[in-house]
Amino acid sequence: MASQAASVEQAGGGMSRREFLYYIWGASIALLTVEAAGLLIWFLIPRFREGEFGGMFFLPVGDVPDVNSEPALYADGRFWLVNLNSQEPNDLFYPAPGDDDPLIGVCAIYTVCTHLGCIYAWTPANDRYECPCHGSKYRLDGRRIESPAPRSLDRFQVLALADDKTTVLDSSPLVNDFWNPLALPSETAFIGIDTGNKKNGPTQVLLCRFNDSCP
Amino acid sequence: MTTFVDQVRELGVKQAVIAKTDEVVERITAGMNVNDVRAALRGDEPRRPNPRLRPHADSFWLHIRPSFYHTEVTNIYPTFRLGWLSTFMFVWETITGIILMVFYTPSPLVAYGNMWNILANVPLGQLFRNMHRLGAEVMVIVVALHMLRTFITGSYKKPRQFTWATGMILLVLTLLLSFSGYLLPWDQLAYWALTVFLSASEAAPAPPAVNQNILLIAQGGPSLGANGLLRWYLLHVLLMPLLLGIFFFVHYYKVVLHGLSLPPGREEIGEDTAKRVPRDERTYFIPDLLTSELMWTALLSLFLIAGSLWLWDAPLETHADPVVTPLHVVAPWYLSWSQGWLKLADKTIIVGFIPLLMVAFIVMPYFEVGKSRRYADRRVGLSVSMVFIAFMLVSNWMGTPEFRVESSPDREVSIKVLPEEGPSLLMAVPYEEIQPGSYLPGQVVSGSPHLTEALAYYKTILEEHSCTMGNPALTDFHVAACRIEEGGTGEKRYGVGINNKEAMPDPYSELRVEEVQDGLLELNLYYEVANPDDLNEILNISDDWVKHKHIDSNYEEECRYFNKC
Amino acid sequence: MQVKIIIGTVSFMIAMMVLGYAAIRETTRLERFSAARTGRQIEMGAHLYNQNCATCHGVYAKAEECYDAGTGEPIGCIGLPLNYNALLCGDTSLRMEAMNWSGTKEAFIQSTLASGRPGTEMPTWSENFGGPLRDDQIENIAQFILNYETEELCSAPLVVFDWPDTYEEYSAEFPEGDAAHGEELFLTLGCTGCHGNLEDEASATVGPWLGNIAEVGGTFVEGLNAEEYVYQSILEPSAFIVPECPTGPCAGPPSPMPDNFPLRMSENPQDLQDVMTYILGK
Repeated sequence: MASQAASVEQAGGGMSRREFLYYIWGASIALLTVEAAGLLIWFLIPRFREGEFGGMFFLPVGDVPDVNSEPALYADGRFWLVNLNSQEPNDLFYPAPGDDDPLIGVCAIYTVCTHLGCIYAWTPANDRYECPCHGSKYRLDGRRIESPAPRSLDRFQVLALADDKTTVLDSSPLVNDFWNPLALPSETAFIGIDTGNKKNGPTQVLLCRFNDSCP
Repeated sequence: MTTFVDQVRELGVKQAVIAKTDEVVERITAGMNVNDVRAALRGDEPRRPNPRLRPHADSFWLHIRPSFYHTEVTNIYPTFRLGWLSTFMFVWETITGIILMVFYTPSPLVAYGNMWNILANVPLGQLFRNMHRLGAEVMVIVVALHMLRTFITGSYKKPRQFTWATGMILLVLTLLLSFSGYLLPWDQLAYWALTVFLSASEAAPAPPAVNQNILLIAQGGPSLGANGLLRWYLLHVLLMPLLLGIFFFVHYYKVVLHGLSLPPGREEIGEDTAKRVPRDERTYFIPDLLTSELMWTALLSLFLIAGSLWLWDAPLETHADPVVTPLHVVAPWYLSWSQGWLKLADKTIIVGFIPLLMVAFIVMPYFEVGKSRRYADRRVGLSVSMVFIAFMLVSNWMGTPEFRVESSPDREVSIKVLPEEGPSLLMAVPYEEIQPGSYLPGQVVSGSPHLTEALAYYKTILEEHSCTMGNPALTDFHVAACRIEEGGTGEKRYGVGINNKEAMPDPYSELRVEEVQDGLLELNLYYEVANPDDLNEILNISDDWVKHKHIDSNYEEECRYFNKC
Repeated sequence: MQVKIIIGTVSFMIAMMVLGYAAIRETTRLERFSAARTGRQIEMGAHLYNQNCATCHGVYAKAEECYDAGTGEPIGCIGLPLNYNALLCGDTSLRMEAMNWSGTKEAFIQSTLASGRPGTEMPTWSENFGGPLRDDQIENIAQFILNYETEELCSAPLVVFDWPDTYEEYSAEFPEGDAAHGEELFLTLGCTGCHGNLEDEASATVGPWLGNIAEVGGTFVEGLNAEEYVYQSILEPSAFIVPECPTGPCAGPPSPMPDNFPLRMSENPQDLQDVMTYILGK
């Protein structure tokens, strides 16, 4: 009777042990829920393997296209392989204000348009990439020519590898959080494209502004 | 508790059977015996205590429904029965959906083949599919109208704010259901509409790591594939219907708890008398509303069946191809407004704005200022809502393909005359009417009225994308003069029309038809543009737009439905 | 109230009639749609054929008119004819018998497409085996090829010339050879696809260069001079396989060189003399 009276008194006042324990239990439930949610998210995120998009792709160095010529498509890797040299300009790769100088080497450009995810195509008639969904256009190196592309094309990291496909001779220079073209060392036997390592293209000035051809 | 045998001994067989039937009927109806049922069917006054109220107390399905309604809410106005209609559509979709599940497997290897199997090999397969798809579109419309009606009659106000909140959640779930179902046929339309929309989630105003992971989870991988299809299938057939069912019951419970709100003019301002229904203004569920609901079920079923059969047809394009984006990616019409919005502002703003809009809608009733539901007292609110509706309609229209960015004029003509996907006037010409050879736009082919019609259309479209420099066109065109713009590299751009759309100057174009196999025609659109300054120089030749037409392909049949050609 | 009952009843009855109508028409509709399904597969197959197959198998699938994908120049067709009696006619076609195929014709074509023919120029097409095409695309192309089977193709009697065992006997029947025509045939029969041209040794990319065959042809098989050797090589490619090819050791047996020239040249056996005249530089 006395203990009951005591706990009734306490109900309006300080915390009883039972109440306190309930609160701790509640906190543990909350923590468990948060942990479970995190694990669930980890469960749901897909993982990648080599040779599958998201993993590494290896190509013999002989497959690199000619300088400033049409890009080579690697559909399962979802990238275009281009070989650039800003010191040998032509219709496909011409200088423009805002370009880094010089741009020499190999790039792996993601095949997905930066606007809303459609796959753009290389249009030989116009010497540029063009997206059928909303009309975004890009230069050979991925710099945007016409909007609505919000930024230039994304790129994957390129590695120059020796004969054993493991020794990394050089990798794409990271300039302003973007992969610049990689000039291949002469001993390069293979190039590796890491499709799990993508950098978003920078928001450069539209090229159409320089010849006043923006729609 | 006498047994049946005892009853027989006491009353004789006939009487015993009648008594037993009576008992069974009373148990099945949870309270109404045979006489009560007949009295209800006849429209007589019920005996007291009213047996028609007992099913509502004792049976599961009827305990959910109120036993009587205020007479004023049982007519078309003020509810237009839209809440009931929404529920009906959900049940309709569930039934037709489960039927379709019998023949569908959510794997990219077989999903598309399953769709053709349903259309070509399953009896009434096309009908069921159309009913499901038509039902989905009707449900979206009905749910939106229900929301609109609730807003206009002010039925979201206190004490019904939570009902409105759950209603908004139901709206989102309905849209998600429609969106997830859209992917399942795994054709080009489905695949690319979803790809574009999902990639928008990457644009949400949150750190890129979060966005990219949201996109990965939604797609099931770096792009939409087998995992993505499976995830959206699970959402579509399990999670969303389950959530919809749960929230529906919460929503409806609240509706019955507070009662259907009366027409605004009927109540004192700020009062809610929906639950205090005077005896003389009651309409009982059994039999009056039950009859009404059965009638509407009959009418709607007829409308949906007949509509699925004769008016409307669900499209099935070619197999989803992750590396080929068709030139005409289009959002489902009920999401067209978001495409329109994307043309107005940066996608980060839009994608961030939409959830905010949702939250604003949900909490709106809790911040309501005025107590009155009367229209005259809510001019501001009603005007704002009308403006918003108008804005949504305009956005919807803006989101349609007419407003997309144009590709080159010859492609624009080809897209309309010989679209990549789906039937067109030209593809729908009966096979025998098209003989191999070449045809000019607008040419009249005697004995081939459909081909002539298609060629006339070809000419109209060509004219829309052409302009003239005064050089003789090879067929008589009605086109405006070209407006010339010189680009930085000395290249000329020819334009026409109000928005100076790109056009071909005095083009020569023809349709070339070749029979490549028995019963297979190859249709090729050819365009040739000469340099207006030097007619001997050909500026551009375009001849790579090719479509094949097989004698058995039923494009003519597709064109008969009003949403196809 | 009675109005509602009547409306409800009438609606349900009309719905019954509508459903009944749909059911009655359903059988013919299913047939129509089945045919339409195949029709559309053939349409897609035609498109895929133009994109992937025409360069080697010819614009009309007869291995006669092939054009370089990039330049548009005419080139030799490396592939075998598909619009071809021996491939398509009969439940078991001649080709199926020759390849010891015991399954259906459709399966024969699909499996050839999917896995290619190792040791020949026919690549692997199915993405299941590392190629670029999906299963449904393979099926579409197969339907397109099968659609070449017509009464016209199959009713024309198959001419099978009884080729003499030796070139000496053959020359007795067909003594004169037209080198100019032979040069044309060297292209249209697809020889240039693998053997290149006779002028430039580097042009032979698959099969041995034939520019000097008149000199070296007699050194390969005991008892066969250059002419007999060439005669045997064309009519029975797998009888003897030369050790060296441009890309390394020659593949086979069986030889990657098509073995159906006897059939293909049966209609005009004179063609063989023309081709040999050209090859041997006579």
